[in-house]
Amino acid sequence: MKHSVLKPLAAAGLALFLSVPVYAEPAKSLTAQGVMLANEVSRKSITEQSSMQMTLTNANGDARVREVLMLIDDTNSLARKIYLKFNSPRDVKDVRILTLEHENANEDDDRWLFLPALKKVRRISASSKGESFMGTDFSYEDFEVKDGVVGSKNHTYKFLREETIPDALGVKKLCWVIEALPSTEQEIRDSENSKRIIWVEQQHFAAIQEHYFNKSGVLFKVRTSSDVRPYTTDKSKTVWRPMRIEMTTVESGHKTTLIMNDFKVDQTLPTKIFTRQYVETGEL
Amino acid sequence: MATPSLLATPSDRANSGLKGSVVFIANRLLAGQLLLAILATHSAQSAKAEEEHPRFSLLDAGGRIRTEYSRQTDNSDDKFLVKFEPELKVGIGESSTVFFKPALNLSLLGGYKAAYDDQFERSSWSKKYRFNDYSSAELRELYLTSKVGDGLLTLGKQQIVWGTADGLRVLDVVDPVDFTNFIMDDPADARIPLWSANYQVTLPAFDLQLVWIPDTTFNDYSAEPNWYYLTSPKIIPGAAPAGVTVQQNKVDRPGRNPIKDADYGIRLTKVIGGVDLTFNYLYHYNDDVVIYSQLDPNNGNPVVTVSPTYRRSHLIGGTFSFASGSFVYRGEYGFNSNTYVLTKSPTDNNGAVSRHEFSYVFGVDYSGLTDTMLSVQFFQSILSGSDQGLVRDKVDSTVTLNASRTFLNQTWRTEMLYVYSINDRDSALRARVRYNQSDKTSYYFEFDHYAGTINGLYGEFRDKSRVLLGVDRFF
Repeated sequence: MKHSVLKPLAAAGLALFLSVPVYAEPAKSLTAQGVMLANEVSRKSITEQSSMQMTLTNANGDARVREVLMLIDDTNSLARKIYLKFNSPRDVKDVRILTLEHENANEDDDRWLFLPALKKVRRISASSKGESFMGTDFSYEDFEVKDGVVGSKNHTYKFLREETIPDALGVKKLCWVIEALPSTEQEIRDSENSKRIIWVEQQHFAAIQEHYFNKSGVLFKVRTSSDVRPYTTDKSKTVWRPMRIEMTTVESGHKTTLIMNDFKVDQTLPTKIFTRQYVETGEL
Repeated sequence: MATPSLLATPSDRANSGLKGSVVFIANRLLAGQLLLAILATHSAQSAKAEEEHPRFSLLDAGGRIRTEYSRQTDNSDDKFLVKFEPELKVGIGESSTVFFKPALNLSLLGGYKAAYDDQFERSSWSKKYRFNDYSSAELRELYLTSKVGDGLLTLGKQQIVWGTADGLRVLDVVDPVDFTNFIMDDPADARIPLWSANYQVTLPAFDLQLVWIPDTTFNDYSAEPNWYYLTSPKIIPGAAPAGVTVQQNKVDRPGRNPIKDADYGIRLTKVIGGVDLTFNYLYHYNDDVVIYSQLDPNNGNPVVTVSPTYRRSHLIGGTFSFASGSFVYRGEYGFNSNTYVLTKSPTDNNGAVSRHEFSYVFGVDYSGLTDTMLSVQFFQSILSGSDQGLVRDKVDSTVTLNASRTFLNQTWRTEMLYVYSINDRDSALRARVRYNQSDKTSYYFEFDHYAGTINGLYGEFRDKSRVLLGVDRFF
């Protein structure tokens, strides 16, 4: 990775920043938290849905591919609802997971898992956020709303520097580099991360790279996001989303690549989807 | 529960197997016609909708081929099985689907002998079809799912699962279990799907499930003496005294009246304050056969007449589960109006008595270690009245321990299930290692071990521990 020289917010960056009307304020007043709030606004929709292709690749290059339907409801911006259903391969087909976050960040989320081998719904603990999500390099925590309005309640953000880095497709992007630290007792205890460093590109406020540090302070995962595309919400707002996200576990060299297919925002999702009953039946 | 060997001679089984083939096919046709009639009715009703949506669409096609070799560790008995299980899901119009899952079983060493495959526990609707000693077939699942009102109606051969416990059955008795491999098969493979109607709807106050099960199929026990043929006196009546002739009546099965002889159930589900709660009621036939015995002095030539039958019961109970930190607490309880327990002397009280039974399971899951799940369960069954003269104790307790861990992004999975009877001090252990080579192929090695008293439910198999090698190929 190429690191540029740290410098204050440059005129070019300011111009780009000013091109986003919502945040047309002097760059000097832009705090690290402000960047993360802007990042949230730039990606925030009420609902989203996608058929994700997850490719799990080990250090030898052996790959396994999983197709997952992901439905997210952020109607309550403080309490995300996430429904995931595996469509392939056959050995995990029809595994369904529902996570309902609570507004009170100190409460554990509710989570249910349907396993076809048992043919029943199990309540599972949501406190172990660092648990691997179905063998991928992503954890359950990685699917939560970590930054923005919610994240500001249990994280502190620090502006580190500006830097130009290539994204995963090799396109160079000028970024703000932000350090995020868990700040509440619960977040410090439950999160798998002691620290994150986030590269937020200045054109669309997309977080194109993130370094995760474990409880011992060691870098253990790296995420990159690329192929950032615009989507129009039902309020005619444009949000920017990466269609390719890659998470690599540093020690093992294992990586998981997500490709978002059929990505849609602000489509009406039946409320029944985000219920225990739907996890059990899989049918509306 | 009873061993089939007490209930029919091998020749009876062979004959019933041959006759059963014809009955099997006839009933398959009847069941198929019923489903087709439902499909036709549905198609007519939704013709308008189908103008906008394709009438039929292939939603899923695939399946699994399982190849498994097992060998007992204390002798040379072995099995080599191949199980072919295709799956097909078809969409009909906008709001209905049909799921079809047959199974073709091949025993490369010739294990499907008629004597071992009497199937008296199964209704004619759910019998397996035995081609010969080497191959058999069965319909695992065939059901139509359709929106009816605000709810979901599932009609056909299906699995209906209740309860929160793993392996221990208090409320998960809607469907019976195939005990060919005793308790070692995965639940979805061991459960016998039944022809049923299952309606689930979300009401303002709770989720409601109504079930109607006209299929009178019961727990299916192995009849293979060299394998998991039950001999525990807790399940099987003791041998008749010397000089006493045993005369066996045919199994008295429930009739075929789909109303009078059916099981009925209702389940209410609600999540309150982060706690999953259910209330369950089932009016059903107990899945275990009741074996009555009657002694006739017969002028100095005593004869014991054995009369196996099935009896009804009311089951009322509930479940709970909730998470707190890294722990999940879950439990289920049930009151059974009539549980039938064998007497120590086969001729006391006609060999079996009816008692009320209260049973419960309390379990704790811990997931605080990365990629690891630890689970402990405590089960207790309590009979009404005295246990004097009965083959089991008034209070019967069992503990289970379940542990699993995945490695290398779920490429490897290890799991261990341990079941220990506190009363009999016998146990069963299943240890399994699975290697997922790719999306389509996984290999597994399993060790099943039994220990304890020969009279115990688990200890009776202490000479039948086994190792098992398997390959799952998905397509």
